Amino acid sequence: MASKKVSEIAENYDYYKKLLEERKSIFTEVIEINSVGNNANTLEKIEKVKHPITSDDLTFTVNVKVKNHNFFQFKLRYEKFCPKHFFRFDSDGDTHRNNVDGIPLGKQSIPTPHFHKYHESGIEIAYQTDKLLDENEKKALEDINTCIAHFFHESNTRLKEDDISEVQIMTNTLGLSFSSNDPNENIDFL
Amino acid sequence: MIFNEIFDDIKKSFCGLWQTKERGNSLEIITPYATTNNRFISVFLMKQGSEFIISDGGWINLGVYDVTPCEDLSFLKIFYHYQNAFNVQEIDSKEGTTFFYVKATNEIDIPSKIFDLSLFIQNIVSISEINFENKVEKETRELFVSKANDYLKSILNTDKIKFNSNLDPNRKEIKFNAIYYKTQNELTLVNYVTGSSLTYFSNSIFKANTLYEMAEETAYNQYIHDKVTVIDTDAVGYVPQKIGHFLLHLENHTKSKIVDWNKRENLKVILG
Repeated sequence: MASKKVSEIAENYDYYKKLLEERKSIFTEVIEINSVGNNANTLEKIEKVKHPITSDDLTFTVNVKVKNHNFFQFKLRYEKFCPKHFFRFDSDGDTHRNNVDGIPLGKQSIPTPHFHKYHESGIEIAYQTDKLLDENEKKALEDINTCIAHFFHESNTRLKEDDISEVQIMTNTLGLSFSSNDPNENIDFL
Repeated sequence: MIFNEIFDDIKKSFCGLWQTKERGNSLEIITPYATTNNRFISVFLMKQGSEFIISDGGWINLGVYDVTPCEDLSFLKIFYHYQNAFNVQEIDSKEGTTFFYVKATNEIDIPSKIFDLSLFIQNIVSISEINFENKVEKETRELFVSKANDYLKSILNTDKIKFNSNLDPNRKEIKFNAIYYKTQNELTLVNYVTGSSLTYFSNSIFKANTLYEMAEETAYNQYIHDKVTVIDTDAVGYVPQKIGHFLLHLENHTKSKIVDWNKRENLKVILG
């Protein structure tokens, strides 16, 4: 099998499960996303997250495509443990291949929207929750604030008590919202 | 033959991977071709005029596959090999996203074109996973580019400056760290020179030299008002006694102004 394994996770899988399953705390009530990150086409905001397992800070990253605000990602990362994110959600984008022995090829394809986590072998796999498999609920989850609640529940992350952070995109502009999901739109190929 | 049943399963499994998503006037086609980082390739089919267009949706350039194609020469050789072999064209959107695409005039050719573009994307994304560049060098360059970009943004009108930009849209290889448009017909080319070793630093000077020379060969030469080279005086590769003659050559040969990073306030005067 050619699939790449993340050794930090494979060798410490119980620790990884605790990292994922135990309650995490975030402190920002309104996450304002106004500036681009490493990729000029993507807005990015990084917030601090606390986990009882460590005194180090974890991070919660929100990425939103500049030209399509319905195309967003949420990522949890604990850089000292593993440089890559350990849990993630993609609202749109490419289809993941769960390249694990025992999963038939026909069932390895997981289109977006989907979550990413790690298999005990250290291979990153994608999965869809029941909500994401339900057409009506999936439609509702295209809204970033409905979706962040789903992500917080799935990753056991909260503000104080049972509260969820709110996301505001481009609050420093006129508030124009971009949501075209046709990437070829407005490109003259001829 | 015992393998007939297995072969039927192989065919069924492969065929079952094809999926679609409707996206406005385009159809996203999720193909059975996967990358080394376990992503199935999507292509986007649309009709423009009488032509069928199959594009990557800008996904390579947008970083959707979670890789960034680098500018290392070895990488570029492979990249151009695949681009030429599959006859893949490219176009930039108004926002600067590069789209890779192929065209088909007749419906009969669409599957074959999808085959080509999928293989192109699959290879480019997979090869982008390889570390062609020295890690320390890459970090040194990225850090200096980020510092220098931030400084230029702080002293100039950001509407008038384009970072990592081509002078001539038809000559993509002639790319500058920044181009400052004092007016539409009066522009300044800016190159950053850095390096994590003496060799990398010297090569960075040679690259600046070549880029200025190539810029002068384009139709845009008449609009070049000034050339500015910003020297990373904090870099490990910055050894003045060893690189001095290269910088002197750059200055004399291309008439570029040299600005040391530790005297960066001079940029305000030059670009002001």
